[in-house]
Amino acid sequence: MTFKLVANKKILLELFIISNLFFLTFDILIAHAMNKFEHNGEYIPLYFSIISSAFLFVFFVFKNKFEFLSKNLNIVIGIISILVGLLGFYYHLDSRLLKEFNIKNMVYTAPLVAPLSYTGIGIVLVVNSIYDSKTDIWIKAILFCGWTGFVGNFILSLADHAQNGFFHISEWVPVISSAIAVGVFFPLFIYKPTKNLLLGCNIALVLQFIIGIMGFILHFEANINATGTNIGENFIYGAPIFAPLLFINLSILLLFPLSSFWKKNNQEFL
Amino acid sequence: MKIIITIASIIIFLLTGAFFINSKRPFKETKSFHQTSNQVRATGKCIECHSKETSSIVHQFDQSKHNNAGLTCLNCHNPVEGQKSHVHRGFKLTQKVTSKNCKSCHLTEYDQFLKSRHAAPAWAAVHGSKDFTSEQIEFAEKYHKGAIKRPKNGLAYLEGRSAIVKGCQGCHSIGRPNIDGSIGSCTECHSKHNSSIVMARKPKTCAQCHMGPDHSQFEIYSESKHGAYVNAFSDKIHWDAPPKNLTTKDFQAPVCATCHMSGLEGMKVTHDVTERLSFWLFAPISKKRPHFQRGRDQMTETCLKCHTKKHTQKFFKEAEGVLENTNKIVAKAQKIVADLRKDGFLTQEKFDEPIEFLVFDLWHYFGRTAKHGAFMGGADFVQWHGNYELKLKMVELEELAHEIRMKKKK
Repeated sequence: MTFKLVANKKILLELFIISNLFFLTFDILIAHAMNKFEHNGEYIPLYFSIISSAFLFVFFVFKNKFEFLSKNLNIVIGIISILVGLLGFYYHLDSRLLKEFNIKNMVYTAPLVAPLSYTGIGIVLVVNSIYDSKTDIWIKAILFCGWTGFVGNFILSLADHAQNGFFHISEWVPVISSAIAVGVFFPLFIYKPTKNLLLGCNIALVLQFIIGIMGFILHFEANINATGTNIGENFIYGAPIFAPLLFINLSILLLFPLSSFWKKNNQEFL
Repeated sequence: MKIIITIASIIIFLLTGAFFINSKRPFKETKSFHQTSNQVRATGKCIECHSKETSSIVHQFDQSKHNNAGLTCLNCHNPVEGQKSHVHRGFKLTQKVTSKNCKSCHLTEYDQFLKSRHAAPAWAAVHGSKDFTSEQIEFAEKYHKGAIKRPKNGLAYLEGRSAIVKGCQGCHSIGRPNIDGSIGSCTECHSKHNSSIVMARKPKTCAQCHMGPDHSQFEIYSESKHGAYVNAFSDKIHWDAPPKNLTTKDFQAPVCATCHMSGLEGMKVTHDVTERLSFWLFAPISKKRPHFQRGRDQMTETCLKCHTKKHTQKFFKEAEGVLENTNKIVAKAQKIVADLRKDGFLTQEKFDEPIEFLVFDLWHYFGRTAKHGAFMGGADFVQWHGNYELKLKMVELEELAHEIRMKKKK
């Protein structure tokens, strides 16, 4: 039973990663359509998302047949994903900020930390392939990726809404919400998790989930009501429709280490 | 407790940092300055592409007063009533900014401009009245009788469309009728993205049009004492001084704008460049303008900032002497040609015989030059480019007229 649970957790995480990589295809398609894929480099994450998620999915389905190959493929794709993220980070930096470093460029440049989502996914993929989900390193690594994801979310929502000058007061909500997530989950790295802390983490995740849904609705509504020539254009140039979903996505990711912490906590209690 | 302090510290640190950084952003990137979130976004979003594509306009705008005042691209490119708009990367805008956009903030300047010869009369001088609405014609005719309700320019239309588009309209579009019902283009003098007062004050900007043999104001000005002084001490002039508080400390000698527009030491600023003029100098026979005395008084007031009243009166008297003399010569030349036509020696068609070009050159080039030279202190243009040429062309004209009569009689 225990084996099954452990195996399921790893499998579930793998499915989560594949779906994330696949979903990033659409995210990149919209994000880079804004720039009309002006630079060839903008196609890298698009093609990578399609190809890697396809490979991962095929080998996931036939996992039992090609276990060794599947594991190594995960590691290779994970490493490439880390590199794609770092390369994207450099390109986004280079678009404006490296030329002139100031707050304005930080706000209006291509979203700096967005490409690092590939790096995060890559790390999760590599760790999940190498380590058992019962090990501390697996738990801490996934926790770290989820936590840095919220740090990134804090920066993204801050910079993105700063573009609007926080025109609507509600635009501060995701900034505050991700700051809460970063704050609440941080003690898990340095303190022994108590029941109250884990409860706090759970509440924080529920909050992120709600914020994600609300953000999605608000972004959707803003784009529907925007003045573009067509709806498609509104979604490209308007409020980034998928951005709020990152709150939900990261919450799901953090559920993996959190459930492990709960389990450990319960075992100790028993 | 330690855990709670850690959590609180991180949250407080992050949020304080976020609020602090946001508070350090320029005022124009904040809600307080703009009416829509799109205007805030435009402060930085437009640059993202335009710093790579048409990058100079970004730098021009960066240097502008509009930028310092917190305006964004969208403030000027925001479509106003009657303008065609299109959505460009999430922003609804007009590509063709007209004086109607400028008018949103600079209403007084636009109203003054509308009364000037830079407005409808400039365009009508080429195309006649056909492009204007009856209201526009009626309005402009109040200030410039006969300058809008007029036929298209025969000579320009003889030269053809390409000459009109690339030639005539290069200058005369300053008074073009716009699709939104407004007239003119402020950017002809102020430039598009810098919206510069410095550029509008530099004589070379006026020289985009006011140069050459038909209206050589720039050459005359450059030769005048005014031009020589400004040329020598250009670095001492406060080219960007605020127009409403302008003093002779800012402009120790005048440029075109100083005499024709500026609010020098308490004078009223005007964008009606015809307001301070007293004669129709550009006409073949120059007569007093309807508001002669007002124009003369206002121009005199400007002159008195540097010159004595006696000197100023003497200056105008001498200039009027040149004007009267030129009028006589032009009238005589026109009569010679009119008599030839009356007596059947010339066709009724305009600009199909050499003598018609000769008489046109006489008043349009040399007559104007002599008069402008006299009123702008350009001695060489009164004499060698003006009166000498008038004399020469008159001799040639009389000779040619005589030949025509003799030839036809045979």
